[in-house]
This record gives sequence, structure tokens and C-alpha cells, in this order.
Amino acid sequence: MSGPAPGSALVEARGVVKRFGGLTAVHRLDLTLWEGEILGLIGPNGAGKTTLFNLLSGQFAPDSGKILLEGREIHHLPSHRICRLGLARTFQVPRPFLAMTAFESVLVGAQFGRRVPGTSASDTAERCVALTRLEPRRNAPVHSLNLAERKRLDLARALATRPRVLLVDEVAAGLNPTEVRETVGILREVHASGVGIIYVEHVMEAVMDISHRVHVLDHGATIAIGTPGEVTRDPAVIEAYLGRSAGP
Amino acid sequence: MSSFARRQLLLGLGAIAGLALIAPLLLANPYSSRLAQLLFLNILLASAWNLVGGFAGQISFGNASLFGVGAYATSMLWLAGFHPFLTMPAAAVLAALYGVAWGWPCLRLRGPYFAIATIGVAEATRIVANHIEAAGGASGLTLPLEQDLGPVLLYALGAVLAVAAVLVSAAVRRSRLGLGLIALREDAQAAAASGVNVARQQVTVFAITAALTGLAGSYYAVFTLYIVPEKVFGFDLSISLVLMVLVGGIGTVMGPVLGAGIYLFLEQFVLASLADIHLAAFGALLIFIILLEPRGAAPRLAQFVRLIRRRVG
Repeated sequence: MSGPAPGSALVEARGVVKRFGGLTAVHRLDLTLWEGEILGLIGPNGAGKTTLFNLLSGQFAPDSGKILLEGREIHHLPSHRICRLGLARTFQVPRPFLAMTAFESVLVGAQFGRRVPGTSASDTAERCVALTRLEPRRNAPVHSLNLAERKRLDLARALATRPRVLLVDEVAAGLNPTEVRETVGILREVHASGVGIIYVEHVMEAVMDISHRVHVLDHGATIAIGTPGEVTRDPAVIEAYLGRSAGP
Repeated sequence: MSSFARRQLLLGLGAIAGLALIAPLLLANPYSSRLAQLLFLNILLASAWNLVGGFAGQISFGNASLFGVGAYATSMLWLAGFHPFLTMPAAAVLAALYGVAWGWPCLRLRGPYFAIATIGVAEATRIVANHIEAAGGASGLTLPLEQDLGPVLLYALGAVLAVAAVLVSAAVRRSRLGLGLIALREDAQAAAASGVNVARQQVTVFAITAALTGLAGSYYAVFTLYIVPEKVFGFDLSISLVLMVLVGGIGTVMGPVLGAGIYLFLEQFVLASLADIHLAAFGALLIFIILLEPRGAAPRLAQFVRLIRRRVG
């Protein structure tokens, strides 16, 4: 799949550093998500992908460096402000509001997220429930939802905040092939509606299938950036995933 | 007016009418009048506590500090010559201000850390109150007995306050604020990532809790006509609210009402004979409830009502 013509940057990380005690989880990282793009973010376990998501969405503040959303510095803002500016996320392990129904959970995002004049929160929530195929479970208590449904609910809640940028953290992990295809289909629809996506995933077929570009991390630093085809042939990427070859 | 608001208004008016109808029964003698006053007081206090304790999941053991501020505000203004009714808004506002003043920093903590902080604040408040000579110090304040509002007016005042507290509780539960509170109770980080300003939501609801608790203190002063720091700022009071709500059903609108009634019944008719060990008896009751019915009486009662309706309908 060919990438879109580079327009303006939706998200930019510049020289971002995050340390936990003696461990540097993210080291002087530069990353760009362009308008209209799906950017795959891959790397071995511990590469710093989820830490980067926590930095972008304001759960952590970086030790140094800058993060910009549509040209505006956001790295000093709390999560709820970043969400209202148009950056939403899902969680690797879904974090549902167990005491609510599916619809109420999505309504939280719609009521507290980015304000868009002329749209009502409940309409937005209905639309996101429909988009994520949760209509049959609309009024079900969240604790009765299975893993696949909880992942879609996390996605629906994030979408209900009407993001310009969506961070998706391993939405396909633990799902069967049918569910993975369905989820990828949902992400395509989200992208078609004009949302930029950064997609962290270990399920390679999913991330390679829909990403325009792939950004590869290892030990908190960039080791490759390119189209899915380019990065899978990149020796540094192969080494990070499989180890150095024994031959000369 | 939305259909919800209209329904709530009708329910509220219905409750007031019902309480007016049974008033002659409860006003039959001074003891039953006092029981009614205490019931209204408990409903007001438990509903107020439940806003932050049940909806936001922040368990406060420090609401006596707000109750005391309300009680003292009304008493001192009354002694300064204001009509007791006029002192009530002041009591609510002062309690809300005090609540925000210590709630703001303390609500950054969650769970047991918040609970412990509230104990500290309330105990500090009690000790300070004991030493303010201008407010009567440890011996408290005696209010103008000759200006007693009388049982009928006190009954009406209590009924209005209690019903209002329940309506406020129902309105909060239905509102954007209520949705945000339940979200942050379930998962504060996920709520923040969904745009909920966790700190502001909690402080907002705590201001409402504090205002209602201050009104309760005010009402208490008006019907007992005598307040001392050890009572109105006392730890016993703070604990009793937690017990009422846990017994009745935490995080529900009607749970605190039910719990307020159950608590009063036990306190007056069962535990009076146990005197000094009544807190120990309540502790035992609490353990019993947490083990057998952790969601309290309200959900079980609702289930029972649905069952009856199905049989009848």
C-alpha cells in the first residue's frame, strides 16, 4: 500500500526521553504521524511501545523532549486535556468501567471528550457503538462482555471522544482470525473518517496489512522506518526480532 | 423540563405529601418527634456522604468536620441575632468552602490514603474547635431555648431537607457529573484518558457533599439547641455515616435512605441496651454485611420489589 502524500504532521515526538530509575525506556525518540496516515509501531517486547503511548497520551511526562499534537505542545498537559485536544487511546489490556453498561461507557467518552459543535453526546455514542459492532450488547453490563467485546468497547469509548488521532494498543492480541479481520475492518473505517492512527501490534498480519508506514523500535530507540515491505527486509529489524545470524 | 426532572419533582412532592400525611403520627409525643428529626438528619447525612463515597468511591471518615462547621455557623449566627432559617444558607456555603479547602488536596489521594487523610483532617478540626474560646471552647454553645422552632416546623424542615438530599442524589447520579464520577471510581486512568477531569469532578461533588453535610449540622443545631465539639466534630458521627451507607447500599440513590432508617432503628431499639459497646456491635454488623451482602440492603430490596411486581402483574 502506498503512503499518502506527506501533508502536515498530526503528532510529532522530538527527542523524547523517558527513564524509570536506571532504565531508559525511551531514548531520544523522534516520531511523526502525518495527516491521513496509519503508522504501525512495532518492536520486540520491552521496546518502549506502550511507554511511548503513555507519553503521547499524557499518562507520563517525558524527562526531556517535546511532543506536539497538530503543532501544539502537549507533553506538559494532563491526560484529560490531551484527550479533549483530540488524541485518544485504547489500552493493551482493556480498562472497562465495570459498573456501567456498554453504552454508558461509550457515553463517558462522548460527554467528556473533544467538543464538536452541532453533535450531541448521545448521537456520537450511538454511532461509535454501531461502528464497533456492539449494538447487540448495547445495554449489557460491561462485566458480562468477553475479551473481544471489551477490546471493541475500549475502541468505541476512545472514538466517542471524537479524536483527530487514535492510539491503538494491541487491539488484535488474543483474538481469533475472524475477530482480527473484523477489528482491522473497523480501523479502516475509522481511518476513512479522517482519523490518524498509530497502531501498536504484535499480530504482524494485522499491522502490516493496514499500516502505510511502519516505525520499528528496539530498546527505546528507532531502528527502522519505512513501508511494511521495507522494514520486514531490514537487517536491523530481522536482528532485533530473531537475533544476529551466526554466519559471517 | 425533561421527563426525568418532571418525574423527580413529582416523586419529591409525593414524598413530602406522604411525610405530611404521617406527620400527626410522628408528632404524637416528644420522643417520636425526635425520632423523626433524627431520621431526616440521617437521610440527609448518608445521602450526602454517598455522593462522594458511593459515586466517586472516595470513602470519607471526616464528614464530621463539615457537619460541625454547619452546626457552629448556624449556632453562632443565631446567637448573633439572625433567624435560624437565614443561617442555613451560610452554614451550607461555609461547609462547602471548608470541604473544598481540604478536599482539594486530599482528593488527589485515592482509596485508603484518602480515607486516612480524612481522619486526620477531622480530628485536627475537632481539636482546634475545642480550643476556640470565641465559639465556647470545649463546653460548646447553648442556643436560645425560648426561640425553639417547635416540633411541627422542625418536622417540616427536616422532611424538606431529607427529600431534597435524595433528589440531589438522583440528579447527580443521572448527570454528566455522575457519569464521570462512576467512570473515575471504576478506573481513574481510563477515565482521564476519556477526557474526564478527575480532580475537578471529585472536588465538585465533594462541594455538594459538604454543603449538604453543613445543612445537616445546621438542622442538628436547630433541633438539639446545644452543641459541643466532641459531638458535632466527633469521630463517632463520621463512622456512623459510613455504616449507614454500607448497610443500606453504597453507590445507590435509595441505599442511604434505607441505611439511615436501619441505623436509627438499631441505635434506638436494639443497641440502646448495649450502651457503651454499641460501636463494637455496629462493627460486628458491618463485618456481617460485608461478608453476606456487600452491596447492602437496597439491591436486595429492589430485587424483592421486582419479584412482587411480577407476581402481581
